[in-house]
Amino acid sequence: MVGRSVHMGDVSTTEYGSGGATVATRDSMLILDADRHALRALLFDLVDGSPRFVGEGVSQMMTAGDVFTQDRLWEAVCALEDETGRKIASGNQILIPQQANGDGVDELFFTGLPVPAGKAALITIGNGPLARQLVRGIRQSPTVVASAAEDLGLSSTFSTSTLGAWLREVAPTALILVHDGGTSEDWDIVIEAVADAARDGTITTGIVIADDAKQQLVAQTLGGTLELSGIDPVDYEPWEIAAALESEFDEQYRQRVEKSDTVPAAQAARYVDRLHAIQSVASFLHRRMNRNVVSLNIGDGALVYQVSNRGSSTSFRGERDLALGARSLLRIAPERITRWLPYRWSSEELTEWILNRSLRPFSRPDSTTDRLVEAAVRREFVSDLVSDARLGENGNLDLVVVGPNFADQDPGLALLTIIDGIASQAGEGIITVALDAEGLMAPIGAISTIDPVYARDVIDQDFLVPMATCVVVNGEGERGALAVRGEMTLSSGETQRFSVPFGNLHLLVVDETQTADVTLNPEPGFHIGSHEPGESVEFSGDRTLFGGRIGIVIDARGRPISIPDDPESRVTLLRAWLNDMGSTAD
Amino acid sequence: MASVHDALDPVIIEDASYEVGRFLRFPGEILVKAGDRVEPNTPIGSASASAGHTRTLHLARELGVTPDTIKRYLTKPIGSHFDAGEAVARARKGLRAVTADTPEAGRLSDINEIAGTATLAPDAGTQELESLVFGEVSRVVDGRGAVVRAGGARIRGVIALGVDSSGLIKTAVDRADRELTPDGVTADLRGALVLGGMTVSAAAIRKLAEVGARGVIVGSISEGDVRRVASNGATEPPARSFWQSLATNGPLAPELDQTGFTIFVTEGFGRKPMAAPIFSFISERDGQTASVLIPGRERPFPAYPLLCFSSAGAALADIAKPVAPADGVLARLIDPQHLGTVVTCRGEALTRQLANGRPGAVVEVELSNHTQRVVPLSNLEILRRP
Repeated sequence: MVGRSVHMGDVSTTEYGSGGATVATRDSMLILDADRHALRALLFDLVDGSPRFVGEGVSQMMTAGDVFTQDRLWEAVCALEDETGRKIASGNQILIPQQANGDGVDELFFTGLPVPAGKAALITIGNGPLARQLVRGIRQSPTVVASAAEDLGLSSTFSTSTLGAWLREVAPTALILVHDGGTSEDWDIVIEAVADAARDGTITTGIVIADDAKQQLVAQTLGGTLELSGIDPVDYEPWEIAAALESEFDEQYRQRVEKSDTVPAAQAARYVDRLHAIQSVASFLHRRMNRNVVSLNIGDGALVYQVSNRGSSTSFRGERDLALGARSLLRIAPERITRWLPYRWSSEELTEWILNRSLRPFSRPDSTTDRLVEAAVRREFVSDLVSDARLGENGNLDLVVVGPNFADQDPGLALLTIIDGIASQAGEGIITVALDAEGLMAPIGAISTIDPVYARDVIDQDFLVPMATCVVVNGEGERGALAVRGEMTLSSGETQRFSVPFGNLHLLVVDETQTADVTLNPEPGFHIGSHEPGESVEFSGDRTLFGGRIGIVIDARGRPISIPDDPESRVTLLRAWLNDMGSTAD
Repeated sequence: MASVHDALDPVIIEDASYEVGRFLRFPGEILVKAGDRVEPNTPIGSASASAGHTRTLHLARELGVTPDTIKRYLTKPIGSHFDAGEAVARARKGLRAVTADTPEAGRLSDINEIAGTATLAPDAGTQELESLVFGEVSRVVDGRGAVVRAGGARIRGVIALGVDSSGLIKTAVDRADRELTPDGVTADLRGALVLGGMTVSAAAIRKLAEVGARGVIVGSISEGDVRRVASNGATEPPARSFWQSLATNGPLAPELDQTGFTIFVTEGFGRKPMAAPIFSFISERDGQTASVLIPGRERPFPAYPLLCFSSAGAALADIAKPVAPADGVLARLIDPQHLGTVVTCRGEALTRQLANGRPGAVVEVELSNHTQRVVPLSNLEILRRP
């Protein structure tokens, strides 16, 4: 096994435990982070007086359907003990608090999504706006919500059989019925379809958002089968109802976690769900750095959280990801994905690729072809996620924090998938992309619930790896014609001049330890952010650009990014972009 | 990062016992209890899909006519029987014919000319669930089914389309990388589970169904051929809409359930040869009875189907154990590019820094051309115990 080499060399103070390593013995925290992919045990402790991330043990799920069990918990803890040389548990108990000899930990947290997200189906009668707001509200909780309006394109015309078939496919545990402008006859049809589905399905609870008379109708038919509650929309604002649903589903999820078999093993743990933990850290980054932050996590489900001066929003899609949720990728039109491939692929080949990925959800790309296909899929997947989360409505984004799943690709390709996926959101011209390489965001968020200062110190020391700063040159011109000229002066004093044609990317190699003053002189017809076309822009002083693992990217492809329809030109261009980013299609 | 390396459930199990789930599609009566010995034709349970309830069909609404006129649009009189999907009423709207279909088979028992509805008494369609394997009931899930400990041999597939099935194995091709063409389908395949090699086309599947074969076992199948078979001669549906139910939570190609034919796939979608050890294992059992068991919704997606060669008494054998990668262990690769490539492990799993800079579990493997490479453990499936 290869252990983490970072941090341990800095550790000092008391010698303890069988491992014989020397570590600080105070203020240690163990975070158990579980989902359907893995169970991780992460240790944080004081190192030279500062809270640091010390090590991690993982019990990886190998096949779909593997469940999070107490055995897996202890496997992960044992792996952490092997990793750090510290004794964390005794028998079947985590040692709390930390003991004089250094064994154990002071605090124990539980985060992630240790039980699968809840499943809800939302059926709306009528064309009012309420349903969309409710879906957005529910997607702020660990719940997979399917909307009949979204899936079936239905709003006021339902057929019992269509609705019944849809409910059987979705197999929800909770149902939300909304009357928002439809007829009484429509309402009757929905009740009938739901009654059919409830009789031999999985639905256990129902929330009815309708006037009192319609609530009564539902109660007469379904009251004996489902646990029902009702809200009269006349009494509340839509946002209040959405917030109430979010709280309700949050609470339902929390109760399921508490009832699950695994939690007794961590009885002393504080549980913080992954969504709230990530929100907490992203909000901290927003306040501390005064930047509009979007956090993008694709793992067990997909989570987008964005926070800016205008507010914040979350969109959790528990059914969509690149592993157990890979089959959801079949919803994306294949031609949207194949257009990003630097070779010709048919829709059938792509469909089969997605189907095969769905059947072996934990397999990893292990060839250039698979890496490029996954990257193409990821671009459109990210694009749909940011569109779902309506990122464009809440200010200009300038810091994108991506989860460890993005580290699976080569860095240049990963960066392209991110900036292409969120392309339309880069309105002000500069996006910094940072990687949460170790997947610390949720664990740190959990810590922040009781010790924000501790969490802050870990964020400062161990959290983000800068990937790149991307400057978008906007405008239109003939492909290949000059779009921008520029000059870069590194903090070391070295100077470099460059020019970038329209439709190209240019990579300035500036590592994460350096900054660069950059002056950009766009050609007439091209501009940076809100500057006038042709106006020179200088990034220096407090606007100096930061380097990263990849560097600084001058993106002169304009927005929206245009890809030629002609297959040969398209392939040539995509290969050039990969080449620009130090990646390859061969 | 320290990581725990799991041993893996092998694709092929032989001379050992293993558990299979036998579950009804809808709640019903379970006829066995824990400890019962079962044979392939032992009833496990039975369920009636629709007993005791009626379905209201909103004919006026679906046809767009006034409620008091619906009687004149009925395609058959009250009391008639309708098949699932059959038009109960039909009306013309300009140049178009509009129909109101019944979602399930049943008898039209009544109409309501005030509401514009009709009442359908669905057929009490029953499901009689048989064991299909020799074994012993390990546990019963009330109203749903039972877990049976079977013994002998079994192969884990990746996907099966159609219905549970059993029959004699008949080998129709001579190699794992050979396609079963329509020419290779002969009348003597009637009642058989046909070993078809690499793949099979829609045309060959239709011919197999015509001659009365129970099913076909192949390495791979193109998604287009699945759509062509499911369309049953009509225009095949576009891929996106066809696989849409899979994108939500639906079954794979439910249309195939109607045909009573089974396609058991060992590697995946596309044109990939069947792993040679799997082909050999099955062809060596030519003439033996096998059963294809397709898991239902009691298992999270993707739940893998089994091809079982069970035998009386073998349920008492030791339960099959997972196998960890080790030198000499036969395995296959499962990442899309290398799907079905058979390899030999050349050591145990170990943690190594991957190309992305993160540590991960990897295994050194040797390909058939004797080149060696290191692959992620997550891209490996153990084929069989050495």
